[in-house]
Formats: sequence, C-alpha cells, structure tokens
Amino acid sequence: MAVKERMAELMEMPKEIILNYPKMTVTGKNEISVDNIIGIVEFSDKIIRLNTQTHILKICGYNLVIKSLTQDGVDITGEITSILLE
Amino acid sequence: MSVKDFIKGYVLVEVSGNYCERFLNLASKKGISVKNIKATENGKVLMKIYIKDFFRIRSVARNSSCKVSVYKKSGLSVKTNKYRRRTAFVCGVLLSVVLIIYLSNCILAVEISGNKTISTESMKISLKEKGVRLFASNKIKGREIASELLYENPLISWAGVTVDGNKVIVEIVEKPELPEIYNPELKYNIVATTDGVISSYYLKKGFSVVKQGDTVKKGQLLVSGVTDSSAINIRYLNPEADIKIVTWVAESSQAYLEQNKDNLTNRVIKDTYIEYKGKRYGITRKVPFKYYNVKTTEKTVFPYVKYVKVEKIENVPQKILYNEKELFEIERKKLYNNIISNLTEEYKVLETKYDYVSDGEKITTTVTCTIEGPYIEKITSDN
Repeated sequence: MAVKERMAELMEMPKEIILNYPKMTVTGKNEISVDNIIGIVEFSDKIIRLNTQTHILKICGYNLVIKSLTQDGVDITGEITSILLE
Repeated sequence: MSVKDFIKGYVLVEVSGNYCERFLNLASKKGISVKNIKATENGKVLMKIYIKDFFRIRSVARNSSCKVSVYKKSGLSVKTNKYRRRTAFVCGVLLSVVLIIYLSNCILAVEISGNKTISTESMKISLKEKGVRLFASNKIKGREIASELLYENPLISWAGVTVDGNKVIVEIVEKPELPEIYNPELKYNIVATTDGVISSYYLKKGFSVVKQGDTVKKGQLLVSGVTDSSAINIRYLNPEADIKIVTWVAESSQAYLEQNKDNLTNRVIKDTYIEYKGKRYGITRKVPFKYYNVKTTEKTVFPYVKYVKVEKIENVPQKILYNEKELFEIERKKLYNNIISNLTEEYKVLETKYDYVSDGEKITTTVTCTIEGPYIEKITSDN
C-alpha cells in the first residue's frame, strides 16, 4: 500500500483512483456524496455510518435520506449536522 | 417522479428486519440501483427500485434475512399492464385522441357574411378552389385568400378571412351600387309599362310627347330624350319625369261550392332517419291509415349528415258545402290580396270592384282594381 501511495504521489495521480480512498463532496449543508465506499454499517434518519478503505465515516443529521446507492458511491441528502471520521 | 423513472417504472418497497444495512450492501454489490432510501419510525426502510431490478432482490432479501413488501407501484409499464386486458378501451381512447387531434385541426364550418348580391354558393365554390373546404386543414393563410377573393371578384370592396377554431369566418363588404351613368352616345326615352290614362305628368328633363289625361298603351313613348328642331341641332338628353298612370287590374278565379277540406286527426306515425349525402338510413314503419299528410323536419348534425324526422299525420278529408256569398267573400279576399301583394308603396288602389257569377256548382269571382302608380321605365335605344 505504501508503495502504491508513493507511486501515486510521484505520478501525481488521484489517490481515490489508485488507492481506492474515499472521496467526499459536501455541497452546502444538505448534500454529501461519498465515492469508494465498501458498505453501509448503520442507517437511520439521524445517523449514517459508511465503511471505507481507511476509516468509518459517520454522518449525523436529521431526515437523512440516501438519494442513490451504487456499488461505489452514495449520495445523501438531509440536514447534516456533523461528519466524523472514526 | 422524473420522466426516466416513469418510463422505466419503479416499485416502492418496504424492507423490514434486523439487517437492513446488509440488504442495502448486498443490493449495491449485485448492481441493483436503489434510490430514495428512507428510514421509517418503526425501524423499516423504504426504497425505490426499478421494476427490472425488483425480481433480483429476492436472493438479496433471503441472504440478509429481510422481508420485502411492495408499498407502491408506478410507471409506464405498470399502467400498460393495467390496461393490457382492456384492449378495446385502450383502442377507443387512442382513436378518440386521434379523432380529437384530427378534428381540432380541420375546418368544420365555413361562415360567409356580408354578401348581398354575390351568392353564398358561388363564394363557397371560390373558397373551395383556395383550399377552404370542409375537413381540410384549418392552417390557412387568411390574408392571401382575402386578397385573392378581392382580385377575382370586382364586386367585393373588402374581404377578411379569419379562423376561429374549426370555423372559417369569411366577411365581405360589397361595393355600393353605382349610379346609372349617362352615356351621351345612347338615346334615352321614358315609356309606359302598362295601358292606362296619365293622371299626373311632371317633366323634369327631356321633351314631352304626351300630356296629362292622355290614354297611353304599353310601350308608348312618354318622354323623349332626343330633340330635332330647326333652332338647334339633334340633341340627346337623359330624360327625367314624375309620371303617374291610372290602370285597371282584373283577376278572376273559379271555386266549387262543395269542397274537400283537410281534417287532421291525432294519429301520427313518426319515422327518424340519418341522411348522408342525400341517402336516408333508417326504418320506415307501415302506415295504418289511407290518407295522410307528411311533415318533414331536418337538422344538420354534422357536415353532410342530417337528422331527418318524418311525421305522417292521418288526414280524413271532410266535405264542406259553402253557400255562394260565403265562398264569394273568401275568393274576393284571396284575389284582392293577390293583386296588392305585387304593389309597392308608390302604387295606390283608387277603386275596387267585385263581382261573381254562379252556375249552381261553382262560382266565378272577378276583382277589378283601379290603380295609380308610376308605370314607367327608362329605356335606351340606338334608333
């Protein structure tokens, strides 16, 4: 993994592609999309926990809805209050 | 619901169980597209799945020990499935939609107004040549058609063609009647149109040939428009005169004292038909009585299609025996009305005489009216 990381740095290539690192895109306060997830650990309208290659991502908020779920990514909407990396 | 969702069709499913997250992970790993995942208060999860993916979630549900129940179905395929067995209904709906579209884009009526001397029929023929006919497209160029009408018909001074839905409204304004133009090359004369006696003679222009009190015959010259004297050369004029002639108009008729009169009973046979292009379709019932009067009423329900109602009313003729005076009165009124119906306001009935002759079976009534009026006309001649 370390070799891959170093290679990616040397080649200036995006790590989310080479290393499958999660990539988060937060749009405002109500939308978040996460790529390269492994799976959903916990799902409720207040907490969503996503498993990734490096850590577990905990998204807290109200009325959380998964707009779309695919093999690689997830789009979440709702009133997001916090994002934690566990 | 987006258009894509509607076309593809989707199922709103409710997933319950202890491992809903596992269900979601397995579904995503299998490439099943899951949308709008919502957690409900009772620990269940609602999600939207496309119909084609719905049949693949059975194994996912089994592996994740979850129960899946359909909450709602929607989309085009669901709707078509609903109406698959009702082909006649769907065909009817489609046909009616096609008919509505077709009928809303074609001409169903042509209304022509403003024509006085030009006949409506000739206008319709002229419009037909320009594409304005029943069941033709209502996308017509009104201005071009109006200008063509103006160009073709010299009697029209203005034309307007507008489309109001399925109706084409053609409005025309005809040129006012032009006054008679005096042609100096023609010789004008005023002549009598009936035999009679001149009761008043007032010459405005021209050369008098007769005088008041003269007896004239039909076609006799009254005022001449030509003079030839030694003082001046031959001169033509457009003669004008107020001349009144007293004439006698007589009319007679024969009528039998014993007459048959219509006696309509309450027995009526009603037949209804649909008439299409002059042909009638319907059932004609047998008439149980010998003599009857026929009353027909027609109503146009659609272009070329008429609703015809035929009433056959029983008529039992009744014999009536008039006395001579009674019949004379009836005939006298009839003849008098007949004479005065042809007269305009300028004509005056001065005197009326009635008489009748009877031979026992019938009477011959004669009505003679003395009428005063302008029985004159202006004629042109080359002689």
